[in-house]
Amino acid sequence: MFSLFLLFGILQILILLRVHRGTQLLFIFSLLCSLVVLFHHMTNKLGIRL
Amino acid sequence: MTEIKRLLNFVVIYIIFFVLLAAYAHQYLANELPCPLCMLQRVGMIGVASGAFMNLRFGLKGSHYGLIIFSALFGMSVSLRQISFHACPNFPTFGTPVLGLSLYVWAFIVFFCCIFGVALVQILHVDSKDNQEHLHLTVPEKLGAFLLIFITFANVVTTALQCGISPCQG
Repeated sequence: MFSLFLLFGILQILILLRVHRGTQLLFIFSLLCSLVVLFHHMTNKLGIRL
Repeated sequence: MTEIKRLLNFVVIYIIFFVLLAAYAHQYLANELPCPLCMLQRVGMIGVASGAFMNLRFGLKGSHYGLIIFSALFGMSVSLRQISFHACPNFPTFGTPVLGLSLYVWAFIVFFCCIFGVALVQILHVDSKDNQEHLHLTVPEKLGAFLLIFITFANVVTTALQCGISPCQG
């Protein structure tokens, strides 16, 4: 879970340094990772097997 | 118009910072550790603020607003899931309510307002060349950026202390 925050922290530092290339991709990657964690939590909690 | 839109993005960063700070205050004053879904809601909020920060740093772009909407939708779905957990009558809520509402309901309201605000800004959107001319951060904008980075890394540290490298079961 902490790596999600870390990804966004790195993203913010890149934005501050005005590194435009790849920031949007990193943003989408971070959101996808968050979605994976959410699905992991949902399947874990409800006992659903995907 | 560009100045107003920059101001709105700047305000979003400060609002998210204070919401996250209030969550921390609640966490330590009420001595309640955040649940995994609460942490994912924080991730969504940090995503919204990062999108607004991109608008300030790289210029106002539709793609940045798109990223804000994606983050807000993610956070909204997480908070809606948590609301649905506790929606049944006589079922206990999670955590101490603030102003009569649980924190995850407040998170849902924050994400809803973000999407509403972005839609409003897009309606007011007029293409202009001066979007790219105001890329230097003013002192309050710089302060907002540093506060955002600070609260994000504070979350890195506290989440690592609470859950370690596991996905934080709860």
